[in-house]
Amino acid sequence: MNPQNFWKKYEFAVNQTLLFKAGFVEVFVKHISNGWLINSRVADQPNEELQVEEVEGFDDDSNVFHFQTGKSYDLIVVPALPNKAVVFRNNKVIKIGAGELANLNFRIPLDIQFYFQEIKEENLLIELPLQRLSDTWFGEADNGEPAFSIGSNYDKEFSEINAMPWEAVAPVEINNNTTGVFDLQRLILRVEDFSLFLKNKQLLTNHVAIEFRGPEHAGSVNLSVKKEIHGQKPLQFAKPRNEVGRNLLRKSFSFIKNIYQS
Amino acid sequence: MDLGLSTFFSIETVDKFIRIMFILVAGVGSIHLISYMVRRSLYKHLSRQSMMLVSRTIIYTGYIGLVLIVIRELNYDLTALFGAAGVVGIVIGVASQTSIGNIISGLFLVSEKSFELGDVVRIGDKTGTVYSIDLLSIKIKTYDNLLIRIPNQTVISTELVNVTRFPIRRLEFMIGVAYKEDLRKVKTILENVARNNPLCLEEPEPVIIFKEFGSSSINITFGVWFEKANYLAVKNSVFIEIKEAFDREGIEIPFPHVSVYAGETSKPIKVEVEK
Repeated sequence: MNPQNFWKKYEFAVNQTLLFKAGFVEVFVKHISNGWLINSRVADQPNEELQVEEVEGFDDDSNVFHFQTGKSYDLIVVPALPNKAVVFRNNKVIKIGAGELANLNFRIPLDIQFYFQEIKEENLLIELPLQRLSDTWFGEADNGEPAFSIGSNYDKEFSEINAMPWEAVAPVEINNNTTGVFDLQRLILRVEDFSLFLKNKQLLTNHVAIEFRGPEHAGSVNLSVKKEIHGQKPLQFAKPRNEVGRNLLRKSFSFIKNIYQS
Repeated sequence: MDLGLSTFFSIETVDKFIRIMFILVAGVGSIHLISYMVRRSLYKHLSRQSMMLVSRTIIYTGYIGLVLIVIRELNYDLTALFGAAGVVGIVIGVASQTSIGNIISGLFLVSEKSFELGDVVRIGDKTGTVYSIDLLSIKIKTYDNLLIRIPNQTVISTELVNVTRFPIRRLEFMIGVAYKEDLRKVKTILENVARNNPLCLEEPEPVIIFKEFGSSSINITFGVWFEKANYLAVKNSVFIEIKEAFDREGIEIPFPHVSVYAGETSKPIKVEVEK
């Protein structure tokens, strides 16, 4: 299914139930008088495709969320990046020579968000991760930060990446602006600051350019949209959770500072 | 019958009464207003217990000042009062050594910042959430909803463990497996338990220590890291998952047992089974 046919606004009839299947999650949404019933379950195997189908029954068990929202027949389904930073943990050897650039592409499982009427914070009914990522910790045990682990998978070439429809691709460029070799072991991506874009059938985050200036120096990070990656007219699919701007500038160096060095 | 009320309710007395009432109302209002404003202005700079201490110092000092103002309004000679206060002070000082010790200990506790309101602490054999930090004592709320008052002096002279100071913790499970088991396989199973539980942090990595050859089992310490808010969920889920994984893989968790051995040359013990 084309992502634009899945991530969109749905107009419900009275008592209509739709089943949304994406990643490891299956979500039943039923429209009721002045509200919604939502039930979800986690599948053992991921759904390879994004799917929506109308179903007859609705399993009204104890896991059901009941939302009394007033008269609204519109349900908006949108993708979102995880609500915590994600950490790439390298289990191979990635060494970036002095003055060299390295391009790495990461796959980040998305969350699914359900809004009624319109997309605004108070209209969010539920948000579910399409793949439950393992918790991890980035930094020292007394002053690090919580994050999700995206494991050790990455692709060097953007064209080679074989992401699932419920994953977003994060293109990252690391510039080793030092005179020594940079040994990349851990990388944190603060996805709360990233937007989502659609190119063809693939969701992408911003292009993330990181400049490494040495372990003792503040580096920099720059989020951008690139024609060669995002296309001529990139379609923004979701805004960042955090306001990008001053917020990002304030902690930009920590992208580098937090990269573990042996 | 003349009760002398007319003398008591003279214009001067009524005037004084009204003045004192005004001083009291304005004084109490001002003390709390100042306390509120100070708390508001220091909100971002001080911890909650420091704020509580500052606020209480303002309130207690304010009330002492207010009492002195009222006494002066009543035309009592404060010089005599201060003179008497010296003697009374010595008496009170001797009588309230413990309280003063607690107050000073409280100041040290606050300045040390070893815990804050809302932290989970273990003091001696008592564990609970810090509920309030007062001049003489701290109060902790236990998990079975009891309020325990612990004098500040006791807190400062006792080992205190702040369980929730840091954002992540390690939970340790003591596991015993039978001597016949393949320990490498056991280690792999435990690693998988941690890896497959999304609440167990991937980093720092779980700790597996083969601790000792026990009397009935080989004892292993299995430690997993987690975010402190997930304590109960991690403890219960990992506990269940270890048991399920061991059952699935046929790993025996032995009960304590005794093998009766009668020596190399002794004959086997006869056992007769009655039908």
